Amino acid sequence: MSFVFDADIISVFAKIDRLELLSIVFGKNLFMPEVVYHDLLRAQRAGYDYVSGALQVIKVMKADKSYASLIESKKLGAGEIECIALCKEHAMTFVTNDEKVKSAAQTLGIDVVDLNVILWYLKEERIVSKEELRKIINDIEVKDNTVLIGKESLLRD
Amino acid sequence: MSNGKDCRKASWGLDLFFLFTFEFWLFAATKGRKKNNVRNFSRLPFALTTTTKCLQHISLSKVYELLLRMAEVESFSLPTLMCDEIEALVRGGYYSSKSDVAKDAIRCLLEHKPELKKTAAVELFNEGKVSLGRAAEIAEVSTIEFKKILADRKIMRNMNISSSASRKSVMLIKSKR
Repeated sequence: MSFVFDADIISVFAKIDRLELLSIVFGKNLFMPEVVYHDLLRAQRAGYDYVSGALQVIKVMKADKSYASLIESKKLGAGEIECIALCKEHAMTFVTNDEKVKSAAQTLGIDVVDLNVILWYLKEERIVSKEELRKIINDIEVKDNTVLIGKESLLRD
Repeated sequence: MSNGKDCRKASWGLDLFFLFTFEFWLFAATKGRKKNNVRNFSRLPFALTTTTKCLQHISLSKVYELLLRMAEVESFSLPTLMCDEIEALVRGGYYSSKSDVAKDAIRCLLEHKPELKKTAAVELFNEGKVSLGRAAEIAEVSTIEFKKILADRKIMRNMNISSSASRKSVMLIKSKR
């Protein structure tokens, strides 16, 4: 099975320098559409060097434009739309952290995984220790400017 | 694929039908009264109820949706001289309508003040009206750059950590790997 990532979720793990966790959690079949690739490339050229790792770990897959045209939304970005199109076309699972995108994908019957799930997976599968998980959570909050509400439940035994 | 297109066409057809029906009832309810080219909306609730009662197959949300679409028409107060200039531009054939003048004016404003594009994008994202990726497009930056803009403006993103939903999804990852 394969997973499709949008720029947001990739950047979270790239920022905290833990991109390898994506391969550990999701395996080897990690994909992003061309638009997301160019989005990351643009960021890299603007000086965000940490994305270069993602460009090597996650493979680029071309989305069928006719599928993308089915998702006519002025509320989603082109990268997000292509992610949904890829998932629809190849029955893949979408990894995103944006509520609007999640809801649009789920409406189309696409399985969605978010950061919340990834963190629980890291805990439940004992991929990282409790201390490591605490550091990951802290890094995400500080470096990705995100508040993880209810994070205590993740850190409980 | 063709089904999707047909559905969309059908949906548009229905939308147009609903719109015309709603417009008709609105006109009837407000008795077509117009003052200074502005329709009297004082009896709008009556129109809404009548429309909903008469067209029982239309959901109320559809009516509200149409109402919202109509609300996309904005009105502005402009100095008389500016109004004259706009009308002159239309009369002179430089623009096909006053709306086109307004659209071009906004485009020029955002082109000359790119910071406003970023502000608009931040506001739209903050209000939950667009996704992160779309907001980045509006701001004309990459997603990562847009996240930096949010951070610079001290706008935090919230994410709920919920064990119940996640345990199911953990099983999902396992099954899909």
